[in-house]
Amino acid sequence: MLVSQRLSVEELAREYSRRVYNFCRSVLRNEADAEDAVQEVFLTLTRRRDELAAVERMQAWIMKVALLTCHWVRRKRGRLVTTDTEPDAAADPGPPIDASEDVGRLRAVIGTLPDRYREVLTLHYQQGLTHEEISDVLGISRGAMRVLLHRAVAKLRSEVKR
Amino acid sequence: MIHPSDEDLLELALAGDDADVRGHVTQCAECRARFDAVEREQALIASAFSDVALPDRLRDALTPRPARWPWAVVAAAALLLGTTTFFAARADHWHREAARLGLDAAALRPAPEAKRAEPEESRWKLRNVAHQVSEKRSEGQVPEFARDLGDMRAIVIDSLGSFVELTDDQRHRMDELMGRLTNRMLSSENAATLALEYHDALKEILTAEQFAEIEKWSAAEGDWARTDAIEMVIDELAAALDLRHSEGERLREALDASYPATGTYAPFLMANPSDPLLDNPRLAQAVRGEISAAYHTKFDAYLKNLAAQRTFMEKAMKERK
Repeated sequence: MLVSQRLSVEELAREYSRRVYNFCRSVLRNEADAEDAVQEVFLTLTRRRDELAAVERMQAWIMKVALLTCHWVRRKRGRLVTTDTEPDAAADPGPPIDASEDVGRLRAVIGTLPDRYREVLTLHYQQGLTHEEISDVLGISRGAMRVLLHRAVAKLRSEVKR
Repeated sequence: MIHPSDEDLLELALAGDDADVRGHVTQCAECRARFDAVEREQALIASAFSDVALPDRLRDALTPRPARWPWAVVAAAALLLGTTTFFAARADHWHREAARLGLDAAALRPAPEAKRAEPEESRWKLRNVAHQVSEKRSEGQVPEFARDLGDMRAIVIDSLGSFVELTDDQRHRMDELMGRLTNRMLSSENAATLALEYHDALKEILTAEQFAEIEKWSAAEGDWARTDAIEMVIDELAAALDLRHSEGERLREALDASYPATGTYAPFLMANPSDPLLDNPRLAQAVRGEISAAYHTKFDAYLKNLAAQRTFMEKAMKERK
């Protein structure tokens, strides 16, 4: 049985609201905006609940709704959805970040990354989605997603080492 | 022995599907140590994405808590009845809200299959430039506005060039053609007529084979451009009227039903100074019919401001000439 066949929207809210909130918080970097976005996400799910039965990968589907909602909130606040993916970033990511690096500083650096990088990192590290699911959420090919994720980590490494 | 690069090890950590690299890491102590460091890094990055509990008010809004037993014991039957009524009303409100709202159209649908490898990059670039053009226009920055339109031409040519191979001469001639037509558009010539002229002139510049391919590309990009143009109108209205996301989604459906199909795809001409809501009364009517009456005054002010911006910009353009 599909997850969506046995969960109502309220049950989905219980199951996924925390994950959606953390995702929106990471993408929007603003708690009030994140709260607005989460409410909009579940309102959208309510409107589309007839479609829930056909959803196979519920978390990825909800994250797609959440990402679009975050873009919406960002644009509404007058901030462009930047797609600064820095195609000229060096292919070689350099050595990994030292495990003794301060997590707080790492978090701060993640907050300064271009939106698109932060989105893919959040989907991978925080939400634990598969590459296929992330490609679907971002609306790009799997190959493009892998390049994007790789560049995001390379950029993170270079910024942490500054 | 060739050791894997830092890039290879990162790829292994992220995707884990390179059997050669994995095999090497298993055999080579030095690379095993390097890969362990990458794995520790991956765990560190994951830990930086903190898991925060939902704020209480948000949790309460999303998931009404069931009554707790001590409260139920203390409460009389009347109170229980009241609680039931409350939740029933809440559920009813929830259902009515759902019924009142239409389903979203384009935003959550899977993107149409790309006609070429990666159209997203040029699309995003075009969209960002279109936003910039819109901002410059509203601020009356004429030179910057014209420069952004030039940037848009360059993106279109690059995008075409990644779809069919173009010679330097063809690129040059296309740039000249687009520049000429853009200038005429800025002198208030009709963008749709100019787009047809662009279409005919392209035939002269490209080979028949190239032209046929570009026609296919244009059809797909034209569909996207139409969706994107609707999106931009909604974005602007959302900011001007302070719409909720759900209201914007309903508006999307209304606009989608009324928005004209894209003719010849010529984004460097469509970007501006076309103002869909001013140029097409049917669209303005569709918006007015969809938004609640509480927004009508703001919407009228928005249209008035849009008309004033256009007049100002047209005057500034003439002075510049």
